[in-house]
Amino acid sequence: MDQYMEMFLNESYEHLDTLNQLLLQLEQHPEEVEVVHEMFRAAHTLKGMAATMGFDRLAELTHQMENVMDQLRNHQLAVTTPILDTLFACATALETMLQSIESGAGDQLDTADLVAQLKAIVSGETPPSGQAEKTGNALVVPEPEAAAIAVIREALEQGLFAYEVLVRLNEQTALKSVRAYMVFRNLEEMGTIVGSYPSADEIEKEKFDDWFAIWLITKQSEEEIREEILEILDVTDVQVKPYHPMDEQTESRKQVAAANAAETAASAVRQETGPAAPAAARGKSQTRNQTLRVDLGRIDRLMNLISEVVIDRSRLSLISSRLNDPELGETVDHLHRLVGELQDVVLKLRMVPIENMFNRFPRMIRDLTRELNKQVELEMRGWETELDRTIMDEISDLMVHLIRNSLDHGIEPPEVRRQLGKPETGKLLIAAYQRGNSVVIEVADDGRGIQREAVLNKAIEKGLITPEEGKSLTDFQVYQFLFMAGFSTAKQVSDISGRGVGLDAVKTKIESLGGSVYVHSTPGQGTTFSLELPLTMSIIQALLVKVRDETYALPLSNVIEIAKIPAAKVKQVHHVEMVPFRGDWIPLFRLHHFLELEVPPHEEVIYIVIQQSKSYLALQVDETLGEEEIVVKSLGNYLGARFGFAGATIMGDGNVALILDGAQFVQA
Amino acid sequence: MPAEDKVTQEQQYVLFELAGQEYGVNVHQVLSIERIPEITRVPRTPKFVMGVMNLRGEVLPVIDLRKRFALESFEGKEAQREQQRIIVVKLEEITVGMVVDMVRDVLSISAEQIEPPPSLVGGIQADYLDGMAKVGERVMVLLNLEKTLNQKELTELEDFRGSIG
Repeated sequence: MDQYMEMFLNESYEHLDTLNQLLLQLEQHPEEVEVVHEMFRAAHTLKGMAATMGFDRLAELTHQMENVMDQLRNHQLAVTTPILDTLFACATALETMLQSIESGAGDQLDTADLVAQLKAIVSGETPPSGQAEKTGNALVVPEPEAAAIAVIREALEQGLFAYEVLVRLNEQTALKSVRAYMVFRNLEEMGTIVGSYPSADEIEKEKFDDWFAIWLITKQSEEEIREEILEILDVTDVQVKPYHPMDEQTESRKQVAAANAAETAASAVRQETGPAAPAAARGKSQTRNQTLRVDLGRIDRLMNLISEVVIDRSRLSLISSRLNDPELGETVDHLHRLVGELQDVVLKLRMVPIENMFNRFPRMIRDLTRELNKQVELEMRGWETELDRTIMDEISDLMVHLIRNSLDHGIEPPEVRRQLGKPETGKLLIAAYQRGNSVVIEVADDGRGIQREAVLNKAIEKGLITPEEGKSLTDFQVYQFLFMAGFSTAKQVSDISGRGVGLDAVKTKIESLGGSVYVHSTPGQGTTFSLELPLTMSIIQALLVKVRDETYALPLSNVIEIAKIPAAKVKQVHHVEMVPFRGDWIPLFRLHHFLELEVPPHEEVIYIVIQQSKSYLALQVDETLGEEEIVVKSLGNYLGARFGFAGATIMGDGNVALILDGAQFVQA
Repeated sequence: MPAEDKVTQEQQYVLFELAGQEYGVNVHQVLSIERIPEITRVPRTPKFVMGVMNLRGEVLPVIDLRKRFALESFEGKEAQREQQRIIVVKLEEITVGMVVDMVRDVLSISAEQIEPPPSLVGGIQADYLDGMAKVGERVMVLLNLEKTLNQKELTELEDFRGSIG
């Protein structure tokens, strides 16, 4: 895909997101007209970009949307459900078109219906409910611009007349802009045009329906103007009214005008910076920082280079400590700090607030709940939590799946909830937060929860376990079956979550990203799915350990603590060696055995407690060497992914150390 | 084989020695020739996998070619050990270092000089070989890298899950 196309798509999706968000906001607070202004801008930008790229249908649809929004923002139309529904449908159509463009098929979608609906709304054919009938003549004309008002005030002072001229053209006319041009020309011969609505530019592009307004300063009378304009072909009606600026004060007019101008300018600025009031109401800041679009590939290259520097930095530290030169030591320390900061900055370049993904959900949930006839209150927390861009792109679809799952299988229909004594409106909480080197994203509902027995029976039926074994499994272990391929407990395949990826696909994907997924559930009270993801992919904090004379790295994200006990205190339970951990006993895994080494006769057993999901394991090592930031490299295609190893890293001394995958030991 | 070489019917081969026999590997497949650095053992891999090394910031797997072909292990003196080299070869997506006794030279071999291999040469099955080349008095065995680096023998040993815990 060429660069422009990519940029176009990226930006268009962003504007579409904004549009969806604002539509939702407007649905909840129809009185907030500022929102429509913002919407209008998003639609307008979309239209401009689509037209530039030659996507005419896309441009046409956004153009018609703009017309509706324009009437909404000028109070010519009231915000009603039918209008919102039409706009929502348009947003969906836009998304479909963008996807089609992305797939290379162009903006192919029959939008004739939508366009017709929008046109009908604009022409007032769909009576907007709850609103007084739109009268044919009482057109709402906004105030002219501040500059125009200032000119008008001055003209009035000099004894000239100022008029607001409303011109209506025959709807059938084929040459609207030409007729409008003639109106402009004729009026200009009679005086000075100080402004128009819509702007002259828009009128020239036929961006008006059947009427427009012009403010004129002249010596002529109302009647003379009227006659002059009515002579033009296709002009059906002309209304000429003397125009008086709003707060007309006899004294210090200029000052008022100036203040007026300043105020208008201020409100314009407010609009430019986004919907200040509604944003505050939602409790999240929406200040737009200046941004620069950079190709992800370039950032990756930068990351790789920094990784190399990080390796050399370690090497340098090692050399410096060997040479023991204070000046060198100081310089190396400084370099150490600088490289650390540099690394942080570059890592952050890849990080985007999770807000970008969250923004998609309200709209989707609204549609789904309607489709499923359910009532759901959505709460989202942790908008500002940052995640690696690549990871976020990868998990976006998985999140959609989990949300669908909750809405479809979790939250009960309102009648059922009422019978159960629950509030009819269910709750869905989507929360993101950082925990150490990971980001956790949770999808929690207060629905029916997972029936342990249903899952167990299915597992027994599939021959995965015997009924006896089933009894000894913890709830957590039972729920893990849900993530196995082909394991579905849904009684009937629904249209929503019964197709596409299953939970097994979610698990596979998350694990390929170095994360994990687990589920907690209380029958009758709800289910929580948690995704735990690495903050970034390639540089991790690791604990270096020695097993015999070999050095291994253990990702710190799994490490809970380091402990040691006298060898004699290791307990044997059913042939499994156990060591104490927080008042409990957990299995001891002698790394030596896995690494094909002899266990040396120690008097003490040093072990590292690692955690994966809710399980713990103690890994025996001979020595711990400390923490270090390491760059994760793969073992190469020849060796491929090997059980127990997460890759390799190059140490300060230039040697390769293998990275142990603690999580896999726990699972095995 | 690349088309442009068909015209001359000649290909260049890196020649190396392994247990007293001369072998050749197509120069197009060779990335570099390295001295043997510190090699980190990778547990739970077949015996012929020596481990991984740091090749200019990348992690490179290294195999012992003698062990790969089940030849007698290397028992040379220090001087001979000094001559051991790693030939870094790349085959499609796979990059591997192969430890050989010594690297001799690079030689052009024409198609007419190549004959099909007998069933067993120097203890190596014909499967691993592309052919035999006779240049003057020298007889060289041309390695088939696809077969030599076949990962089947690696993956057969890969599932260790059952053996732990």
